[in-house]
Amino acid sequence: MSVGIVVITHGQVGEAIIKAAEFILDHSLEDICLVPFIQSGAHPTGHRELKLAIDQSDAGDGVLVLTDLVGASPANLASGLLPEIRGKVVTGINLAMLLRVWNYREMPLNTLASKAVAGGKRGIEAIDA
Amino acid sequence: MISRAVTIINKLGLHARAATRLVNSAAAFDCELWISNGEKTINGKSIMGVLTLAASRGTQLNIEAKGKDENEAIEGIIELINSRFGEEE
Repeated sequence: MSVGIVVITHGQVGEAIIKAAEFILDHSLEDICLVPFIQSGAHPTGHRELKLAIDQSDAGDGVLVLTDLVGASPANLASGLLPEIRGKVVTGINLAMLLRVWNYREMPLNTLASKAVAGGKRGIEAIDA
Repeated sequence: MISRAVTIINKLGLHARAATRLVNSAAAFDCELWISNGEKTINGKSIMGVLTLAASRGTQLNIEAKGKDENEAIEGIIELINSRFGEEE
């Protein structure tokens, strides 16, 4: 068993990052569940879809939900579900974070969440001339 | 522990897919493997580590291996780099 991974972001951000990671790793990341986030008017929807995806992704070791902007609706939807699920939410998804999470997906949930944060940060550098 | 220097020769340098190939190759060995670009040293079995070397064509790397299959590991990694990671140029 391993931790389930669910991605929910604005627009096509999550899908694009997953596809880029698949290109780099040269294999499918089909185990990752991508949940569409639909902003309909002022009220975001997708609560039910996200809960369903998390429940289906939990094979017993919990679920790591990766999302984009802290404080934004996809992140708020995910964090709002925390009392109902066995999971952790990590914001700021980037390609470095997803590669790191994929490589360590056999680790326990809390460790994997820490790896996600560290991996995401590690992918951010100011490159000097 | 053994150590060898190698120069990146493929046009695109140690880009993401090349880094993946290097890490996958390194992971097949039991030994510990470190790669250095100047003063920066990373774990050769970590994709993010390898990517942060930011090694473009012409960059000289130093590879260190420690473990019972260290010779095979270093030879394998150097062969991969010298084969341009299977890329045409």
